[in-house]
Amino acid sequence: MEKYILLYGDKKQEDNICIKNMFSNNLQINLGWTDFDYNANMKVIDEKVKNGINQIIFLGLEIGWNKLIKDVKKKYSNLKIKVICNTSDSLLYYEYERENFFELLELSRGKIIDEIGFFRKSQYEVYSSLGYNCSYLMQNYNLDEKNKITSKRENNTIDIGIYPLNYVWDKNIFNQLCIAKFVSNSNLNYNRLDERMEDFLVTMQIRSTPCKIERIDEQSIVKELAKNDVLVSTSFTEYMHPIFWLGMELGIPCIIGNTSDLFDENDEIRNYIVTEAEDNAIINSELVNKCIDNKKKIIALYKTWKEEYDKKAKENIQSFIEK
Amino acid sequence: MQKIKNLIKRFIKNNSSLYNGISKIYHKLSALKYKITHSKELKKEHNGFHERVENALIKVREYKDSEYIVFYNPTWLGVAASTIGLFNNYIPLEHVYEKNDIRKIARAINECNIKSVVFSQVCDGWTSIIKAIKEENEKVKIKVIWHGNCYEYFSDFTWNLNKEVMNLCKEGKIDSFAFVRSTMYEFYKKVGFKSYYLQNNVHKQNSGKTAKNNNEKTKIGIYNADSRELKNIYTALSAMKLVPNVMADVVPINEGARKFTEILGLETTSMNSYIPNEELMERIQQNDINIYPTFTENAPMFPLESFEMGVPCLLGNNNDYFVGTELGDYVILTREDDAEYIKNKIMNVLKDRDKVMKLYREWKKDFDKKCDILVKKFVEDK
Repeated sequence: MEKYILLYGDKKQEDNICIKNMFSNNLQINLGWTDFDYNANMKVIDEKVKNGINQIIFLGLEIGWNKLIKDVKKKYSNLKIKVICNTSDSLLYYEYERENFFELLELSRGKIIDEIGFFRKSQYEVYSSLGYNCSYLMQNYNLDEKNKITSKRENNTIDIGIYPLNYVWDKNIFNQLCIAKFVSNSNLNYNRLDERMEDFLVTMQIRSTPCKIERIDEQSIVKELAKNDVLVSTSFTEYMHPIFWLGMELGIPCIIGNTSDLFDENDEIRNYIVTEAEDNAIINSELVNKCIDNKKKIIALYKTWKEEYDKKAKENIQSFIEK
Repeated sequence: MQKIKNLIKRFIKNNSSLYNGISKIYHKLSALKYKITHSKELKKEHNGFHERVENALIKVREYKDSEYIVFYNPTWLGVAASTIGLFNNYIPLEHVYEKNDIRKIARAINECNIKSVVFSQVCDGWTSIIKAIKEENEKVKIKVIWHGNCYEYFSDFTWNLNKEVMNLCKEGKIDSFAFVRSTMYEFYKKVGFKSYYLQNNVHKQNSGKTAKNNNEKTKIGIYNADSRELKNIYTALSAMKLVPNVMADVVPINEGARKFTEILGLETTSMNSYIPNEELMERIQQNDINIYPTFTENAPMFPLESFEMGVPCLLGNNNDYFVGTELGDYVILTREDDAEYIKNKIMNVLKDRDKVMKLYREWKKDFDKKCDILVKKFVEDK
């Protein structure tokens, strides 16, 4: 029986929401900036191994974790070490992402890492064709019943929610904000990450209500998402889709970009919520209207799809752990 | 300084107001420091701009009594190619810093009886030229082509410039806007601005005549894609890796991308330097296909240039080219961040390469006519 622990850092907090939900044995450790961080992380691992853990799964290879992993492998040669890749190809543009990803591949080639998990099929295809030990993982999320709230105000506007959790280029923020201009009688609820967002909406005369999500956790996000009729989360590239999962689990349709492998085998739901054109506000406003008109149907389709998906995703994660 | 920045980032959330405040003060102080320490260089640079104004004034006089003239910055290569591809009466002009130069340009336009002045994007000092032209003669029509899309408002420079231009329009100093993408045109129209729709166009001597490809390996090109994240170069390289018996030509290729090609085991003929457009056009004719899977655009020039040189080019669905056509089904990418999908699209085009080029030539005939009509409407409308 495999006894694992998933270790994650605080660099990509929004993605941790889904990961923690998928891997029940999880623990946050420090990014490896200093010797203090290294020692603290090693202490955690020593304790876990002492308690019978025989497998460690790292979420990403964050700064300083390469040395940690090498030393852990030296110390405990029988311990399985796996790393889940938490970047997409296009984000390798950034030195931090690129250097850590290249290091991850190096550790895999040196057999220090036993397996790499990818959430995108295309990444899995590329690196398995190059001979790396890798697995395709199915992202997933189940919202706890106690967090399922409904707080949509009884008003006459169509409330569109746009909640980027990071003010970065790949979130495609301004093209998303434009969508509300093309939806009649709409109000845009959004996470105000920068004053530029408000300035833009006021200048372009788009009716909107800002909020500020201070804590990146389920409860805080769900509280805001629940105010909407439809959500939009059409970033340019993703490997994990937390706003989509939280929204759909709440019963609010969420439009996402074609940046996942989620609905490759389900055209009906795909046609409602997956946009083929992330930067096209007109096409996406039409999708918003379609979601409003078919809200009940979309959520019913999602529930049916999710039942089957949950089973597959559970098996998928189990086989990754047992590999 | 980098260490201090990293230390601050470590302890302060990068989306907090404290971080934003520190960041703004830092940038303002940096700009001030630059101005003080580089005052001599800046003066020299400004003198260079003054010479270019004198050249522009000669061109303005050549277009005496014309319906219109178009100013463009020749150092902004994409905008320059777009302007030259669309208009006849174009005048290169860079940033203008001297008040006297601004006044001279405005006076010359009035004296030469030019009916409308088009600004193809807006450089430093051009908003002052716009105001000065209107002061000289308020009947001269001012039109601005905005080449960016809303994605670009992430940049301080672009957003502030956009606001300034919008304010000039509200004050009646700018009469209309043109956009080179339909979504931007519709958006600004909806916001309440008088807007026109244009399409970028390219005319090359080859005119789409299919380039021969006798390569032993499938040669795929990626160009001018290493400078910005939205160019998506790493996904493009991954897609190439999945194509059997492939050779990559990536120009320029930076250190990170080069290392990535080594990790992927991709054979390349790449080089890390920008090459002049004419040389690039020669180079791309050696390829079987070029790919341009960027995340967001308006009306990119490179895909059209590639087709004009006889080589099919894949492009993202973030512009208005080829939409709703059989050619579009072949070359438009809807999943820009999916390497396997891009690979399949590459293989499909390579299979029908001659047919794809034939479809392009047919499409181009109608497109040329459409571009001319759109330009005419924009220039002539009062």
